Order: sequence, then C-alpha cells, then structure tokens
Amino acid sequence: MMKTTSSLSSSLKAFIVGVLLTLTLAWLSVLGGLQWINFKIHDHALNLSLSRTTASASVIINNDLNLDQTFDRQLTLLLDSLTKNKARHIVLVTRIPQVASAAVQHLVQSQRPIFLATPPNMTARLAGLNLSTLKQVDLFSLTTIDGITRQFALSRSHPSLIDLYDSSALVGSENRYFNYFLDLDSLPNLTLSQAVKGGLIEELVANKVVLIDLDYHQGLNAFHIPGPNAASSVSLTQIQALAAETVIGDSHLRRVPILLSLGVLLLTYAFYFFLLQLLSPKGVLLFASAALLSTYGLSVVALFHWHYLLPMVEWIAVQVLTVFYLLGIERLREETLILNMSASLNARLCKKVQPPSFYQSSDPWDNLHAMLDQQLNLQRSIFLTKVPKDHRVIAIHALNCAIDDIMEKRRDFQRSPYSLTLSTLKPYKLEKPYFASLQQDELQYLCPLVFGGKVLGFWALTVIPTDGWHQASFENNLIQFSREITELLYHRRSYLRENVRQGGLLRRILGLKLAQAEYQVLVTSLSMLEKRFDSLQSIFDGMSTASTLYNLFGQILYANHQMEVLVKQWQLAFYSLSAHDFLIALTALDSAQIKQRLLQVTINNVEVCLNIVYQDQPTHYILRIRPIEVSNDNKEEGVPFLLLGLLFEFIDISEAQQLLTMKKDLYTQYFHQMRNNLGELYLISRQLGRQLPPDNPLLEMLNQTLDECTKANVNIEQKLALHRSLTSTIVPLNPYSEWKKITRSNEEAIARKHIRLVEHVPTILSMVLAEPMQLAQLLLVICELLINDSDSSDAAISLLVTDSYQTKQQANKRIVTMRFSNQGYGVPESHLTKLSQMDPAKLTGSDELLDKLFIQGDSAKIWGLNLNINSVLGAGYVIELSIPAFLVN
Amino acid sequence: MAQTKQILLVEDQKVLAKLLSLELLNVGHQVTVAYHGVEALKLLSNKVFDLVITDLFMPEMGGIELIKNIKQLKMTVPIIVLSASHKGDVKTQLSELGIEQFIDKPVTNEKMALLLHLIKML
Repeated sequence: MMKTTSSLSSSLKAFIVGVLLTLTLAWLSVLGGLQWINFKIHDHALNLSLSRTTASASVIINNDLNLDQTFDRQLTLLLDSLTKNKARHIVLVTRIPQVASAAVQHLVQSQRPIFLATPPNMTARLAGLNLSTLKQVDLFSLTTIDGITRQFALSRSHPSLIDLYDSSALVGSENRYFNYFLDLDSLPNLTLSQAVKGGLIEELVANKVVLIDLDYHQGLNAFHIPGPNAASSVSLTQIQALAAETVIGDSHLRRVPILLSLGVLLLTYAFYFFLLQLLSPKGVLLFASAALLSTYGLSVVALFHWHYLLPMVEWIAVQVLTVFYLLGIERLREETLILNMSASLNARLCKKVQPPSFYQSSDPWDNLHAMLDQQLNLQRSIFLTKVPKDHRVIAIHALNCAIDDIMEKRRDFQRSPYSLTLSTLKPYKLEKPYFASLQQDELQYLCPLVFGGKVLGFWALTVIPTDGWHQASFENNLIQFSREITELLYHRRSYLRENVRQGGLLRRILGLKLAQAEYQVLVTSLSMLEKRFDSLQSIFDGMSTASTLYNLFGQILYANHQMEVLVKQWQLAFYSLSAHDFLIALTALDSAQIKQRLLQVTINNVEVCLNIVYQDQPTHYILRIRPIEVSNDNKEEGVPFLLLGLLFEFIDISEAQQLLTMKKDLYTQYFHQMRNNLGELYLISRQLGRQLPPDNPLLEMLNQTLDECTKANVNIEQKLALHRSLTSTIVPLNPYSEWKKITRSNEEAIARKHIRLVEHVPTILSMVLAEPMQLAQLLLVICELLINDSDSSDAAISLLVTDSYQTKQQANKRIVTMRFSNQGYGVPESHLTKLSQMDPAKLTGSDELLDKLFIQGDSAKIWGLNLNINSVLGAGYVIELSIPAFLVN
Repeated sequence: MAQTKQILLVEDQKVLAKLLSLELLNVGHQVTVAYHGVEALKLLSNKVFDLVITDLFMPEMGGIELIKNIKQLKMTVPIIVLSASHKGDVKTQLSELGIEQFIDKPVTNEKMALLLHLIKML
C-alpha cells in the first residue's frame, strides 16, 4: 500500500513537471521565439508543388522603357488599348517619387481615370504634384521577416489599392500573412512593349485591375519570397498584386489562436503521458515517429486547404520532449526498481547464507578461523583483503600468526605470488618462504578470494601433513572453503559499504557512477542467486527418488535427472502430459478418481501415496504426492496461492522387496531343515525306545528336550513369520476394497439370511499398510462372525469407515478406522473379557470364530492394527479395526 | 498285526527316509525309498504300490509335480504328504490335486502315530 501511494505520488509529480514544461514551451511560442522555425517548415512545404492557380483579378504590365517620348507614346497606346478592352481600373505603380512626378506630367492631359499607387510613406512627398488627372491610392505596406516578405497591411487613412478591387474586402489595418500557395506565375504578366506591340485582347484585361509597374525598367525587384521562386526576387507590383489577390480570395494565412494552441499542446502531452504506460518504450518511439510524420502532413494540408499556419514546431517539440522526458522518468523508475530489487535480493540472500549478526559483529572471523582449523587442522592462517582502489592487501584476521610473519613485504596483489594464484584461481602451493620461521615439513598455500570476477582478497595458510594427509583432497577442500570465505567476505564488504552508502550518494552522482554501482550490485546479486539455484538444482538432481515438481495447474515446473531417466524407460511423453494425464497413464485409476486425489492434496494439503507398477515392469514404485507450501517470505509478497505446487516422488521399493524376499527364502530353507532334523531326532528316539526300557530316564529326558525344542522352534518360527510378513509382505492397500472382496465371497450367506449391508465410506480413503493375507483373513472372520450372529428377521451389518489424524504422544498419525456392527445375538461382555485376557496361543478354539478373531487380531498387532471387540448380549457385536494409513509424516 | 502294504517313501533327507522306513518296517509294511520325484515315478511305473508318502520340496522333481504326474498317469495310488511347508497356498494347491492327507514336519511321536493310523485306514 505504501509502495502504491509512493508510486502514485511520484507519477503525479512527473505529470505536473511535464505540464509546466509544456506551458513554458507555449509561452516561448507566444513570444515568437519559435515562429521562424514554423515559417521554415511552411517554406519547405511550398516545395511540394502544391501551388494553387486561381482566376486572377489583376493584370501586370511592366514598363520596360525609359520615361522618354517613346514611353509617352507607348503608354498612350496602352491606355487606349486598355480602355478599349474594358479594363476595370488602370493603376500606375511606383515607389520612386521622381517616377511618380514624371508619370503625372505624362498623363496631365489624359482624360482617362487612372490611379497612381504608391507606398503609404510617399504620400507626403507627392503633396506638391498636380494630381488632378490622377487619383492616388496607397499600396499595401509590407513586412519582411528574416529576409522574406511575409506580411502585408493597409493604411486606412487614404484610399488604397484594395479599394479598386473590392472596397469592402479589407476591414481593419492589421497585418496579414501572404499565402504563397497561390501561384504567382498565374497572374498575367507582360511588358509594356509586348502589350503595345502585340495588342491586348479583351479576355485578358476586361474587368480587371491593370497594374502598370513604372519602376520595372530600373530593375528594382527586391522582394524575396519563399518556395520554388525563392531564388529570384519579385517586383513591387507583383507582390502588391499577390496581396490584393490574397485579400479578395480571403486566402491569407491564419495562425491558430494561442489558447487553442496551448490546449492542443497540453492534450498532446497528456496523451503521451498515458500512452507510455500502455506501450513499451520501443512502441512509444515508433508511435511518436509516426505521429511526427502525421503532424507534418497535417500542417501541409492545413496550409494548403484551410490556409492555417499551425504551431507545428511547438507541436513536434512537445511530442519529442515528452517522449524523452517520460522515457527518462521511466528509466529512473526502472533504475530505482532494479536497485530496490537487488538490495532486497542481496539482503535476503545474505540473511539466508549467514545471520546478520555475523556481519554486524566487529570481529566475526574468530569463529570462522576456529571452524577452519577444526576442519583442516591448519598450522597458520591469515585472511588478507584488498584495500579499496589500491593494489595492496591488508590483514583481516590471523590464526597462530600475524601480518608481520609474512616475509613478502610488498603485499601487492598484482605481483607474485598473488598474481600467480590469480592466474589459476586455485590454491597455490608456495615453494619460496612466504611465512617466516617455517618448520621443516610445513607446507604453505595461498588461495585467491575472487567473487563475481572481482578480487576481494587472499587466504594464506600453512599446514603440517600428518599420517593419512592427502594433498589432492586437502587442496580440493581449500577450493571449497575458499569459495565460502569469498562469499562471506563479499557479504561483509557489502554490509560495510551499505553503511557508508547513505552519505555517499552525491559523491557517486558527481562521479557518474550511480548506474554503474547499481548494475554491479545486480550482477553480483544474480551471481549469488545463480549459485543458490545451482545448489538447489544439484540437490534436486541428487535426490535418490525420481521427482517432479508440478505447479497448481498440473504443468511441470522441474523434473530431476532420475525422473527423466525413468520416463525414458517408460517411454512416456512426460513433458507433454499434465499431472492428471501422467497419473492416468501410470495408474489404473480413472479421471474422476485422479482428480479427487489431486484435490485431496491441493485443498486438504495432505499427502497421497499410490502404488505404481508400470505395464508389468519388474520395478515397483510408491508414488508420493505432497503439497509444497509457499514460504513465509513469498506469502508477504502477495503470492496468490498457498501452495507452490505438487511434488511427485517415485520411491523405488523393488530392491528392498528383493532383499526381503531373499531373507524370507533363507528363513524358509532354515526351518525346513530344522523340521526335518527334529523329525529325525524324534524317530531316533522312537527307535531307541524300542531298544531301551520304556522307563529309561535318559530316553525320557531326550523326549522332553525334543518336545521343548519343537515348541521353541514353533514359537520362534511364528515370531519370524510375523516379522517376515511385517517387512516383506506389508503393502499399501485399500481396506475397503478388501472388505468388498470378502462380502462378495460371502454373498450367498448374506442373501440367505436377508442381511443388508449399510456402508459409510469417505470418497477419498487413504491406503493402509497391512499384510494382505492377514487382513483378508481377519476381515473374513469378522464377516462370518457378524453373519452367523445376525438375527435373520431384519439384520443389518453396518460399516463406518473414517480416515483421520490421531494425536498420539504428540505425533500426528493418520489412521483408518473400520467400525463393523450388526444386529444379532452377541455374547456376554464377561465372555469377551475372558477371551481378551487369554494368551492367543492358548485359545482352545471352542468358540471358533471369536477365537480366530482374537488370534488374527493379535497377529496383526505387529503391523500396527488395533482390534477392539464389544458385544451386548441380545444386541450384537461392535468390532473396530484401527489401521495405520500409508502416509509419511 | 496290520495288513502289510507296499509303501513308496519319497524323501530327499536320507537319514529321515531311513528312520521313517524303520518305523514303517517295524509295523510290517514293505517300504521302497526314492530320493526325488523322478526316481519315484520310475519305481511307480515298474511296481504297484499301495501308498505313496512324499515330501514336497525335493531336488529334480518336487512332491507337487510328482503328484501331478501320478494324476496324469491315472494311477489311483493313495498319497500322504509329509512336509515342512505349512503355507496356505501349498495346502490349497494340494487340495486342488485331491490330496487331503497332509502331515507337517517335524514328525513327532503324535504325528508318527497319526501317520500309522492313516496308513492303517487306507
């Protein structure tokens, strides 16, 4: 819960920071800081050849003559022609006051309505001219941005050029953006000479405003425009005509209102913020790339069709920055997660390898050295650790020596003998004196302590070989112990480093080692984890039983080597079978029975054992299915199940059975021999009896001894038979199935006496451990007793089977209880008491079935059966059998 | 004096066979000893016997197999089994072969008396 709240809070912070960044971007846009990039994008779009040709309202005629008499003549001819061809207005355009004066003089006698269009700032300079024959209009004032003529506006203080086109077209004097998607080349454009020489046709000029560019011959084209024509400049008249066409076509470029623009930017940011949580970083990058291309396309369409100049750069910027910002946030979050995971993993592994007290202890090495000495019988031992960021080693702890006893004074691990041992990563037997004052036969070893490829230190030791000392075994032991010491050293260093770590964060950040350290921690954690997995796998593979771990869905999680060998022998497609299917293939149980047993394990959390003899193969197995519970550590982390899975263990009992069979055969042979020998002695005694007087005391003694030997032999044989049955023939079996066999064999007797069988048996019943023959005989005796005793008028034999744990002497023992009862004659309780107190071996057999019951019950005690008989005269019997279930606790 | 009977005693334990023979001779019977089933079958094919007393576990051919062969050869000679085996399945097997006379070893005075009684009753 804490983690969720913390994560939510950090996400909210990240979102708010992103919103603030987006607002900053929008503010920068309002200030115009990004406008030039938008224009560049707009200019680039013009290269896409999407220019639109419209029916123009203007015709441009460029004066290519000097303002002399020829010009006068030609202009007169032109004006005549224009008038004749019904030009709507004739406008002389100039921005040169002298040209304007000359034009006025040329046209002073003209009676035609001609307009003189000049830039607004020239009006004052033309104040002295006689303009009676000319009407002066203002041209559009132009604004250049970054060398490109982009805006136009019209002063409303004087009549203006646009009034000649449509007086109502332009209201207000605000700046408008040129729309260069209008094709400038589509405006009719010809020179004065061409117009006069070739003549004008009515279709070209009729009802159009004819703009005569008086300055053209002076080559004053100085207006730069973007797009395909950007290489050349255009004339004043052309740009004015374009402005006029833009106005009357209402096709000037519009900018998106700032609030709308801001809204779009915020929406884009929010969209990406949530998108990142749905897609992987790679997906986000792909989406963002597609979105950027779409943004560009949309901008072009907006320009071309709707004449809108979108804040494309802001839009692209918010997408790119959002992606990088959020990916950065994600990276930081992952980094934190990895750090937490590795720290937690480390902590847990440390906790399991050694108790924390080991690392917290100021000197934990005493115990370690004592333990090593006990195992290896060392003469001297010293642990050396590497000094951080240095190649020297210092002593941690020494046994029977000190650092000064090391004759090698450089203690530089990059030099010999340390470098030699590092090159092999094995214990190195030192030939040159390393320790001072060595005894004659004292051997020196130097072991590297390297963990995860990192040198942590060295272990130097000496040993004096004693009788039976084996060098190879000793060196193997050194390898094993070195590994353990290395791990301990690593954990201790981690523990000490963790203490320093809290204060060292800034230093790590400044050293750009933050991520590197986390990576290193993760690598070492994984290395330790791998080691633990390897150990567990070795243990699992080393188990004597063939074992498989299934998850709760019946899928194989892991199978050990023995299991693989076994299923190969059985030729079963083991890995493609679920636990259920595997049991179907192995046992004679049907699907419903298998499911019941698996549920018994998963729901009731108990063990189930099954007898497995696969396809009459000689090997006999007991399959033990037991639940594997989730450890307490995992429970805390919200694992949804209480069980991790089901462990199937195949216990091979064939060998044990063979051994027991062999013992049984030996016993049999021995007792045959004994019987024969005793028989022989009896017969010899008889022969002697014929030759000696019948009252011969020696003969009598011989006969007595023979009788005692025979009794002893019988007694021992009975005991051994019981023991033999306990060890060799006790098998797991279903007691209810045995009872059913008995009742089936007595069907006739049951039917004859009209006896009803009333049975209450649990759906899942544990198998019991019993000697089949004895159990069958016991059940047969019970069955016959109850049948014989039952009253034939309305008799019922009831069986109640229970399968439960019985707490006995603080040990849980699963017991199957079979409680038989009948409605019959019964016997007096005193009679039962008397029988129960007798030695079963001395029972007379007068009351045959009851005697047999006591005898059988007594015999079965040896394999754990407990018999309890009660009877009420006139009511019948209650016989209870308690049999140990076949479950290993 | 009981009626003399020709008895074939099949027993692999030579001492026991000798002692049993003495016992049977002592009461007037004629005893021929065979030490395993194969030998017994040969004797049976050459001579008529009034009774066969056989052990069960013997080398070459055991008692069960001998009895089966006797039944297959449709010999009607009565058979008494004298054996150390008291296993239930052996008794069942004998019962299936129609053998009802079974005396388990060791041959005590009582069992010897029982054996002689059975011989007399045949």
